[in-house]
Amino acid sequence: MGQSTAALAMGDVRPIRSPDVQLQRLPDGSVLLFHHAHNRAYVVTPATAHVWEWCDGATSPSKLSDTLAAIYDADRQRIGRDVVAVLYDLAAHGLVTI
Amino acid sequence: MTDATRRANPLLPSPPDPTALAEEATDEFCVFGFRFTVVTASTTARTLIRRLYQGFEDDGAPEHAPAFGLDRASPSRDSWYVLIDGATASEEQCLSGLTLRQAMWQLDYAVCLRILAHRPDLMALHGATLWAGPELVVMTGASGAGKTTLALALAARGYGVAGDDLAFVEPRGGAIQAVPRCFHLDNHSWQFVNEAQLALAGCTRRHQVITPADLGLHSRPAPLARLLVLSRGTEPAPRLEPISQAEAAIELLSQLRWPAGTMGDTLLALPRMLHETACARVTAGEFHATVALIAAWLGRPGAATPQIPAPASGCARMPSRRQGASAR
Repeated sequence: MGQSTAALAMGDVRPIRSPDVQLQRLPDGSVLLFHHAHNRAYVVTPATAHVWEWCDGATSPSKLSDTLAAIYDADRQRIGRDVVAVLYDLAAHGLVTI
Repeated sequence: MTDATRRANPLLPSPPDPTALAEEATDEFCVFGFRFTVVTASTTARTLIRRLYQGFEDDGAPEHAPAFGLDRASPSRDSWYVLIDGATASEEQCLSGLTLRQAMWQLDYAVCLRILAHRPDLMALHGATLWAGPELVVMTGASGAGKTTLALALAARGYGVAGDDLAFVEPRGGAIQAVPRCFHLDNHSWQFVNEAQLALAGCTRRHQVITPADLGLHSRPAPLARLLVLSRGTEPAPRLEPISQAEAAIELLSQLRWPAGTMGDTLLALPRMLHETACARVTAGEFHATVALIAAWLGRPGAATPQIPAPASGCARMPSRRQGASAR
């Protein structure tokens, strides 16, 4: 990782989702991320799934926060903090690279 | 059983067994498209075998269908043997000195392996299959979690139990159907059977071989209405909590095997399998309290449980391998 929270918040990075990970939505709305290389599955919230899907290597955390704030009609600052936390969590499990 | 098999097997009885049939009887079965025959000269063994594969009777087994045999090794002792693939027994296991229960389990296991090998297009799910009225319920969890004993306890409360071990999942539509197997009861389970005074046939109780037919059921495919993930607890009070399908899916992934599919294919099949499935996790506690908690979640046993006699042929249920080739 090697990136600070501040760098993430300022949008200096472009997170990219791991190509070894498969997202699977279930009929009740719950979501699973499966890391094929690690053979591990993770239950994530729909919002986290959104974050993971937007990690395309081109979208900054800041842009992602704007988008999610619009989707969830939520406070932009709070969403920004949550996005950074989620990205670090996803990165810690090898689900995204930042 | 062929003459060659007879010659190859030194354990075949020479004098007639007092309870033996006048001559060997051959029964033909077709389970999930796997056609096979079972030969025995024992009335007791034949009764148990026919109960095990009730609903899967077949009268069109090809001449060279895999042949299994189960018979008494000696008329004077309660000692049994199993033949696998009759004429080719020299390459397979020829087991001797078994109780009838052990022999039935060996036969059941050998047939089950062949069924699994015959249907790599289906997902195999480790778990007990129950019926709560018209709803199909699967209770899954690691080996030793108590699925069999809980399933029998639920049977005593009027729920249907179609199997305690294995079911097939059709990946395209998500339908689930129990694979016919003997229930594998340990001493604790038998203690419960005796305490609960489950109504079992005489030979079933005597030889400790319980089949789904003993619980009045035949196997048929249906969508999964409820999924119970069972784990052992350390507290006397059991706990049951609804969980999301994603949480249940994590447990399912460790209990599913699909030879013809990758993990990615299995993930894609999960939404079809869990289409309208309510999921819960049960942390077992004191036995009777756990049974009561599960029964409360399942609701009334209901009367729409499929009862025997079964439809004509077991082959006609799940799509055949040819029909189901492009499951993904």
